[in-house]
Amino acid sequence: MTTQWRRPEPGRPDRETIGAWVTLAWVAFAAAWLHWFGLPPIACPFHAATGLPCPTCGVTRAFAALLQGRLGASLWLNPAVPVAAAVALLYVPYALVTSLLGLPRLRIALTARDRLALRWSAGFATAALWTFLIVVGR
Amino acid sequence: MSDQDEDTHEPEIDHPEPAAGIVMEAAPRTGPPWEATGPTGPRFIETVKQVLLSPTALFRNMRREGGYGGPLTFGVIGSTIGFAIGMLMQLAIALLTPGQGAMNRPVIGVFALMFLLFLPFLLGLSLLIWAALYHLVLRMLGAARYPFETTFRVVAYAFGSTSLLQIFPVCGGLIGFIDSIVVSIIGLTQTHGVSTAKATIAVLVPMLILTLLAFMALAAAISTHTGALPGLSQAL
Repeated sequence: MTTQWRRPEPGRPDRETIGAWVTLAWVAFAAAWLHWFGLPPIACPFHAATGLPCPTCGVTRAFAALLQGRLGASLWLNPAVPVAAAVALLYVPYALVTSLLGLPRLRIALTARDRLALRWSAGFATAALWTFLIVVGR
Repeated sequence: MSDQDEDTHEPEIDHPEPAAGIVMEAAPRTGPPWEATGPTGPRFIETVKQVLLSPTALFRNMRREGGYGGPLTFGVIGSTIGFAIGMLMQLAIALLTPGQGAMNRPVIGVFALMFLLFLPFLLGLSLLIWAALYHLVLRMLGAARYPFETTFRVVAYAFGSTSLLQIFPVCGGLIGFIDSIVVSIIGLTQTHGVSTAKATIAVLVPMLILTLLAFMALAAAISTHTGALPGLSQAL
């Protein structure tokens, strides 16, 4: 894996602009759903049919807990949400600053081995998350 | 946008700043595989693959004009398959869910069948409406350098491909929704030659407005049904 800072190529879409604003829009959608309009969480059809949680069960409630500042409850409901929020807290300011100021961007080049390791890690993390949700009886 | 898209090694093309709305073209656009000749299935699959994995390359090569028929057909086929499979899976799960015995299954089946019959028309209309909204915002920003057809072609290829992600259960719909936003932004930058910021505004503003209106309608419907405004405490 190698990293480098480079300016975006002219004529190419700016990843950071898209990433930052789409993330912010998604957070706004979720906040509007839960907080401003107080709409109910979306029922999981997998849970309804099997009685078992899917890997995304509890995400809505975990996000709502996070909006209320209840980090522990959020972690307990679905640990993926606080982790994703932490990543977003790092990524969005970086993306906004670099895109608005026209600064060089971080680019990570992955080897085939890195990609494989990343896929296995993602698979393992999903399996661990799902096991946790089943064990705690979400 | 995938790494593959970033790693696509195309011939280096100079993109000088366009003057007075003229976008410089280094090479003629030949169009996506869907607009080529050959059997329909492989052309469709190859186009979907390119939209999902290397959208920049696809839209950079997409023709800005050439008729509505091809893109409309692609968009309707892709989104109908995605929505129909997604809906049937949800329906199957709902019917298999314990405690749903009171549901009138034949009536639900008839409604689902009627909905599926009208689905291609509804989705074709929705492609036109989304394209019109994006194009309206582009015009308001002074960024619509090409006619409505160009925006429509972007929307048709973007939605026709990303809707297919709905066939993945659990979070396919959400991923497809987010990907449709990203792919549409990329498409507008590569066809209208606008900045990413303006393309992002053109896509997100109509989506935010319509989503807020939908949420308001939903909240009003729930409050009418329950007699009280839904609140966060109830949601939890």
